[in-house]
Amino acid sequence: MKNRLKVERAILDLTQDELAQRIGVSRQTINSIEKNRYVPSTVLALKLSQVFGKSVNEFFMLEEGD
Amino acid sequence: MTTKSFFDHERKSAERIKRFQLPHSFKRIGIAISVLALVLVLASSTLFESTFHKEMTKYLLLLGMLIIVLAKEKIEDERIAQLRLQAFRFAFVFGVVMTLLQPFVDLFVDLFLEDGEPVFTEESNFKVLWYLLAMQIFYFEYLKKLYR
Repeated sequence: MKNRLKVERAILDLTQDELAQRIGVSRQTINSIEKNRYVPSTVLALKLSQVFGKSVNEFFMLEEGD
Repeated sequence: MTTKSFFDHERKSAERIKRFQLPHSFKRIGIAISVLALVLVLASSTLFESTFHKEMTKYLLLLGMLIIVLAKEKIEDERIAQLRLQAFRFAFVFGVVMTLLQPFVDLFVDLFLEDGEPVFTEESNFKVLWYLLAMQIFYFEYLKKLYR
């Protein structure tokens, strides 16, 4: 699964730490998601959706093989 | 009590057990107890004469390690919960495999490297629990570094 988390975060001018605080996770979790090392739960994806003001599939995309 | 209410009650209990963790501050307490107990275990042959005291230092070490395992991280989120579960799974398999293999390794050593009658001895409770707790702690820390 690909994601545009870094881009969306840059649009809102948020650091990893600020975004992490907004959705109640650690900075390392945001970093892991951005680097595709961790796939978040639906709850976390929806929290990100609230922060970015966009639907989940605008910043998480399935890849071939998923 | 109906079957439905019984399962509802059981589900609530399971949720409570799943969520049970000690506050993050307990991690330091666990480390302090473990380090102190480890020193006592290593020096127990010179410090203590009675078997009771020697055994108690081992129990203290296991207690300290259990506190570390149960203590929350500073920020306990879903990624940490997943890594923790992965570490528990690894520790469980490692502990079982070590418990099964170690007597054969000891037997092999007795048979070929040492004189005397080879003896098949089972692993002690302390060793088994130590494998489980130590592997959970070390593998969890390793995973945190690997997936940060």
